[in-house]
Amino acid sequence: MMSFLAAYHPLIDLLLLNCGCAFGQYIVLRAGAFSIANAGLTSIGAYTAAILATRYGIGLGGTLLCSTAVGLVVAILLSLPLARLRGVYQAIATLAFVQIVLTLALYAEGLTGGALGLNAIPKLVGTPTLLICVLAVFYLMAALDRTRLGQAFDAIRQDEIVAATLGVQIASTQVVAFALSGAISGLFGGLIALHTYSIDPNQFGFPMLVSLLAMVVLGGRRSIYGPIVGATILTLLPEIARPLSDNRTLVHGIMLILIIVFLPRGVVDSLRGLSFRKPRRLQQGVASDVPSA
Amino acid sequence: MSLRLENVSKQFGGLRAVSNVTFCAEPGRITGLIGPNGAGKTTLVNLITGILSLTEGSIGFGGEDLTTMSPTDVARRGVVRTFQNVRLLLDESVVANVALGFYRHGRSSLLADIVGLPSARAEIRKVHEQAHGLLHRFGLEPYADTLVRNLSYGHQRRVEMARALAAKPSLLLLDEPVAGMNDVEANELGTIFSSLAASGIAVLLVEHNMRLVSSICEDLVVLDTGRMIASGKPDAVLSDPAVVQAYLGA
Repeated sequence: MMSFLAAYHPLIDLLLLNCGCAFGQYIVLRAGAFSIANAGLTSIGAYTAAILATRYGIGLGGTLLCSTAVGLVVAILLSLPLARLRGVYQAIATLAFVQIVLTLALYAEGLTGGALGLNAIPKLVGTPTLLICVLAVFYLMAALDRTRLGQAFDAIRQDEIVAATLGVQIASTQVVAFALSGAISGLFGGLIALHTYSIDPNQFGFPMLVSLLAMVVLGGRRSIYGPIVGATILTLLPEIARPLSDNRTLVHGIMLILIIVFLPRGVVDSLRGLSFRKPRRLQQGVASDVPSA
Repeated sequence: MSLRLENVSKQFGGLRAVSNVTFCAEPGRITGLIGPNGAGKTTLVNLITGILSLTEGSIGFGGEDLTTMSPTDVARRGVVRTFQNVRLLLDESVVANVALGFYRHGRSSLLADIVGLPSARAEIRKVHEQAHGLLHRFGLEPYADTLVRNLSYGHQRRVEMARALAAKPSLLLLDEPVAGMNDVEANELGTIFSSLAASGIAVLLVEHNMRLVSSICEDLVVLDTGRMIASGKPDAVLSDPAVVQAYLGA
């Protein structure tokens, strides 16, 4: 077991990082916001952590706290104009946000290192830290299932008018979703920076954006297991099918199309739909369908 | 609390869908809103619930002005509706849909919910007990854990009504609640509506089933091409020549 973990720990670390980033994407999609800003928010977290660790020598706890806080604040600011948009317009606006962040990372050389990025970042994060962070986020997501906030997320995602007519505050609920998403993305951006020695703008571009979206759509947007299953499949698949690893983005794109066509609710949510039991009356084969009020 | 509409109008471009409609829906009574297809009944319900904004006029409920309120704010005043075309969360179970109706009455904080404090757990238990009580009332108990998308249309209508009652309305707007149901089912639901009104709720019933309307409504309002052509007691309204002409033509 230990030799297995030793041999595969880089892959396990990558899987844990992807799970965390996928949760950041999951939370906004679950709340019915079509945001793809997470690559940008993750890069903000990563650069925050890298700058604090390399230039100011701040330790693990401080850097992660700051990267989480910065991600959270930027996401809240981003959510304010996005509250006026819906659907594909939200997607376009958040795509523009990612481009702006990456352009700033590219041209603010004095701060971000430009195209070469930031190097010699101290490696302060190992598998145990990643595992703890993923478990903490997973607990938070699981807890949301029993909260009114989780209930509101599901209602808004499925029918915004119904949600509003039952008293759900659409705008403020989505601000909370963005805040959670920003905090998670900032945290895992920080973890990426403190785990991989160096970061550069290309890491957080279009491929990451597509990957995160694919992980959640593949796994499922409703169940908290969706991002884990999606991240696991899309992290392990290129490793299992080595010849495909150079065309990772292409594979993700093709899988997205296939899933949208054949499993529009994702793997976990489709299985969840099958697992719901049939009504007792139908199981018993009773023909009468007239209920007694 | 009573609902008051004064000179309510709604213009869509060149079409005046609702024109100078004025009436009251009193608590403890069922007010029927009838009219041929395209008369503006659903538009009026959308105006009352804040989904559409008024072009002219005002809407008040319980002394508060709903005219410019958002759907959320209207809902928080106890105005609850069902939809002409059933609108449910299809990927959730029946009991989860009904539990959503209790949303605005929740009291536990987000932190208490996340940590799982005893008070939060007790509230969740209470909501589920009340939701199951409503499912029993509507004959939906055997379907509690079924995904709503797997239910028949008639059962989905009942789930929507159970969800509306879960919201503990002061004003209940029912948009064609018995459409597609047989007489037995329509009468069962009619009995439920009457008992709701008897408990002090103001009920506005949009319906084409004249047998149901004439048997349970205390007041009737008739719309035709957006205009109110009659209002009053059902017997008098249904024999009004203008109403007969609107339904049967010249």
